[in-house]
Amino acid sequence: MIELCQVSKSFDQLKVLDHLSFKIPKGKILCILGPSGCGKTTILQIVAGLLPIDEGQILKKESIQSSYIFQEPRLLPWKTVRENIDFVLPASTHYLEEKISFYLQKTGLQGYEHYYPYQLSGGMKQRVALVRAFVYEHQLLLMDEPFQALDIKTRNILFNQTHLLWEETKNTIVFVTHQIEEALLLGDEILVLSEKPTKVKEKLEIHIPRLQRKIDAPILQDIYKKVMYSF
Amino acid sequence: MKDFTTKSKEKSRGKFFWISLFLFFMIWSILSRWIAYRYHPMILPSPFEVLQVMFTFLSQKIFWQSIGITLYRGFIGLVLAVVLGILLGFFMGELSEVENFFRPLMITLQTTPTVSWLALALIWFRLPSNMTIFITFIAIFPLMTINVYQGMGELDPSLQEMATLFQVSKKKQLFSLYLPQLFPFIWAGGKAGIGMTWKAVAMAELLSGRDGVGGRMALARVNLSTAEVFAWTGVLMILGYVGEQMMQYIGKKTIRYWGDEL
Repeated sequence: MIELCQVSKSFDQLKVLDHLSFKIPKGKILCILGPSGCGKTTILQIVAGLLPIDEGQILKKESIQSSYIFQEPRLLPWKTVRENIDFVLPASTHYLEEKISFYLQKTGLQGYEHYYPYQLSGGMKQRVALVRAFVYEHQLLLMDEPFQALDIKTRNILFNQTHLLWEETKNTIVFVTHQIEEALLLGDEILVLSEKPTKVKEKLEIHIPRLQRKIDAPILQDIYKKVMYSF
Repeated sequence: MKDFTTKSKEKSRGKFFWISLFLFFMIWSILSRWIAYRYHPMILPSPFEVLQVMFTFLSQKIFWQSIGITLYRGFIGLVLAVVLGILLGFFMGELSEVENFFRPLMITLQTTPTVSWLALALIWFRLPSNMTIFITFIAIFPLMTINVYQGMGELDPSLQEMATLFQVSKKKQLFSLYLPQLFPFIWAGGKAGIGMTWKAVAMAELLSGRDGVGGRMALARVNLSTAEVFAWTGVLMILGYVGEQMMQYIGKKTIRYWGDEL
């Protein structure tokens, strides 16, 4: 869907990306795994077209609309759940009604449409962000360590929900994380990055269906070791 | 238990409020008696005289007219200053060219003493209404502009990035993203502004005209009617108090509407 060819990017003197190349496969989940501060967010911004690159090329066939989930929910505190979702949508949401209530129901947020963010827990807020991202018309979903700020339990619930929502849309996802487990459970492909200046250290594919994956299964354990080794 | 203590605290606060008020009027009336006896009754009227004048005001047409004129002038000046201040503050925060162009001007405006404006306005304007509106405007406009400009600096960049990424239209961003974040700054500016309005209006009227509350005060001064000056002062204080309460009410309502986090 999108291909980065030999992309380099520096901020002032600091070289962040060094001739980085990879493909984002259509309809799959690509996990970008790397140590903290290795320029993962920079990669996302380049894919989103927010940052100009110094060298290299970005190849894409058609114009691609992206949707986003950030590290924090980034909801407007003065708007309700429903108004926050409407904020990113076109003026008339008539034809989206069904979609909205579908995703609200899937994430267990029905009945909370008129709540303000301060009335919700951290996990619920991130679920609103999830619904917002999925309802927004997109071909590519960019997720930047979306569950980082949450406790383990909430994180697992949300992780499963993301996964279930993806089964509905089958859109392309780029999922940035520094958690190996997350990458192993979610990714069709995993890109292991080095520290700055960032290069691709390893590229792995996982062919086990997502629903059958268990983190303690032998095959995943093998991949886990491989990733750990290259980390 | 907690309820009880807060309640009794409130009660004692109320008690001291009334004691303070009572003492104030006591000292005032004793002082006015003594000054009347020692020097001249005209210097300091007693609180009863002032209240009496205020009551006679209520039935006079000229009283309501004067208040109407003063309210009208203050309102026009305030609204002009608030609207233009929001616009300029917004564009100063949004565009660096506008910011660099207007910053020195704003600092100059803010540091210019109001008396200078009064002197200039007396030369520039023939109609007392225009002059009063101008003085009100010039007193509040820089304050409002700088408040909104500061608010623009406090905007949350992560929300801004979110809106940009989701390609939210500028118009929608203005009302749903900028305005709620700027509201506390606009409100604070408006509150300070409304307090300044009555002082500025009365001052300008006192120097320029024969009408409005300030004009009536000037007339009272010429007639050496101290009690009337006091009465008009009371009226201005009431106006200021009502204005502030109104802003307080608007602020509370709006903040409740926009949720607790503001």
